[in-house]
Amino acid sequence: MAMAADVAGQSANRAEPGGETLVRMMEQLVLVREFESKCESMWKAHEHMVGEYHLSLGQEAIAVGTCAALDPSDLICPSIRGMGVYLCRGTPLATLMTTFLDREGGISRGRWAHWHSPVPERGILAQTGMLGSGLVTSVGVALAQKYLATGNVVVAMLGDGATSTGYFHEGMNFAAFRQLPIVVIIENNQYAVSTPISSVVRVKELSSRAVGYGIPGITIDGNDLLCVHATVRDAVLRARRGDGPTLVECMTYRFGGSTVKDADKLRPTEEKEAARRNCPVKRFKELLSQRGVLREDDYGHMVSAARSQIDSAEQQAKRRPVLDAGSDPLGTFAPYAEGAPV
Amino acid sequence: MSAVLQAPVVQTLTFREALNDALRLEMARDRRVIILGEDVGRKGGIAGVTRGLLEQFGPERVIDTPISEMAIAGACCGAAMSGLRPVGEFYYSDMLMFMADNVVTSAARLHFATGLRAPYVLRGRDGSKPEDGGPHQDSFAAWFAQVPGLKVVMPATPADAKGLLISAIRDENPVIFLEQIPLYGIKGPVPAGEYAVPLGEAEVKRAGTDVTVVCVGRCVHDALAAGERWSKQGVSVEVLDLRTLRPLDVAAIRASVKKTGRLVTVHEGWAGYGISAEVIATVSDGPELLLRAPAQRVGTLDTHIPASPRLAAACLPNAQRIDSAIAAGVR
Repeated sequence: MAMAADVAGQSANRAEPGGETLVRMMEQLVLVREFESKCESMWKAHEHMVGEYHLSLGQEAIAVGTCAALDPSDLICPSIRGMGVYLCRGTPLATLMTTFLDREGGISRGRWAHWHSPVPERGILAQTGMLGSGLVTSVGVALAQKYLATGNVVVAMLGDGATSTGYFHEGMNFAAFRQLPIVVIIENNQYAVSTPISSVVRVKELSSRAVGYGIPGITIDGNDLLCVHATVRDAVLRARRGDGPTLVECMTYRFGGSTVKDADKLRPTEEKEAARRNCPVKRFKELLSQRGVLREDDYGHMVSAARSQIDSAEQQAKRRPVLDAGSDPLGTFAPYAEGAPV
Repeated sequence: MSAVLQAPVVQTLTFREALNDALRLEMARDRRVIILGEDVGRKGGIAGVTRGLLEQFGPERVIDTPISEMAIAGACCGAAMSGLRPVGEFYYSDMLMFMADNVVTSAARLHFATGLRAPYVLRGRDGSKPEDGGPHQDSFAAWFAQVPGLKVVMPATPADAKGLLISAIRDENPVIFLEQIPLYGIKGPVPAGEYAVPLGEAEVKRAGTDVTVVCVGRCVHDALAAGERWSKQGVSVEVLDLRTLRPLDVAAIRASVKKTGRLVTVHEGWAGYGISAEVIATVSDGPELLLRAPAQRVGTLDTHIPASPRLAAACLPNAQRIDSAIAAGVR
């Protein structure tokens, strides 16, 4: 796969993460897998749940590897298929479940599409359903990080579909010409809802678009967790030392439809079966087993621990009152409360 | 020690210079204020509003951008969310259409939905420029004034331009700041130094008793001229300059119409579903009946502004149409 020389070069002499980190990444993979599977089954059981549920099942390694490559003060704008980011950044499961179940105490209190809600205390930036919009907002966040010399890096994630928007072009070029501390990650699951990306673009690799912006671009196997982690870590280092943005394309495939409501009848069965064989969770589990970092019963414990956390979150959420219109409305305008000039 | 020179209390400045003065003062006062836009740096802005700011504050604070309105609006939103106070410039109001998604879907909802804030200003040229002809003459103020979470400002005088821009930069919300093209060259007294005009307060620019003309932007000057003409015929016209379209100064509108009992609205942009419609609703919605005669509205005719300057002048609010409306109002 095509690689920008300096990104690939750094990847070659990287240090592998230690055993503890590997185990934590395995736990996060399992958590995302179990949490989204639970959401899917609740939705299918006709629980009263709000939202569109763009599940990332099959793509979990991208969020896990990316988040593991960031410092806690770095900022990240997930794609619309971004629940893995919320989980890996430590958003409490009960808060997420409360939000999905439309109850008091959730994120943004029922006022922002929850699958896109910003969570400032976790460094998660705002996304909207207007694909690509999160990129230009993230560019502004990166501009402020550079101007204020915070040392923080911004990661903006988007799907392959969003790379065809005007926002993508404007945002990439803006980030590039200002040499902003941002890493843009394309989660290429190869379909925009039903439309194969290969049928609507002429480039073979979306990362080749980076050439047009004068920045490095790289396409990697997005189901290879260690590769995602190392590549993003290098791109983040590059951004942090002031060398500007990198475009990282992670090849992957979603197990299910675009949303839980999508009948998903148009993608070929063979493709879907191949994706299951290429499952990122299974691959990482096998890798860690081979390396002797993970035993079968360790894995079993991880799954049961995740399930019990999720069940407990569900129970907590269900004890909360359902949102109602009488509950406190946030004012439309921010009151005049000028911060001290700096 | 030699005598300390006192700054004059009031200077005479053009509308353009007054805006520049506001930006310069705010940038000097607050390092969080940065400017982004096409040609804002080396050129000093397409309308000359940002002249000299690059030289004074440097390229980290005055950023010449590519032609990327969506990225300018998005960058303002993201930077504002991260603690800066960006001022983005657009070439013409038409370009606000490129910016609208980020403004409406991200910025305007942000505080309501999350408690976060996006304090930024998007400012630029708005409305007619009949001498040039061609496109870029529209005023889309009403579209944005309809959106909860936004503030929309349109000054008519140099003093208001300065005072309102300073308030807009200090406001905690996204503000759309519209500078009507015919106004850039007009001169007027402008208080020196820090001078803020609160957003959301209309001003009576001419007191009268027979008919209220509610207006905004360059139409304020047309309304004032009409007031002079009608005074010779014994009709006393009150001119109420809205200055801010959102929040709308409902109390000022109602107080004036309560006094006169007659209402004419004058502004650029289509009258239907627009500023006129909102002002008249404001008058008719209240607890008491205020109007003694049907309200009259003068906006851009319900068609597209032609390129020909003569045709455009007929399409836009003009003296003849304002006089007809006042005549109908006071009949």
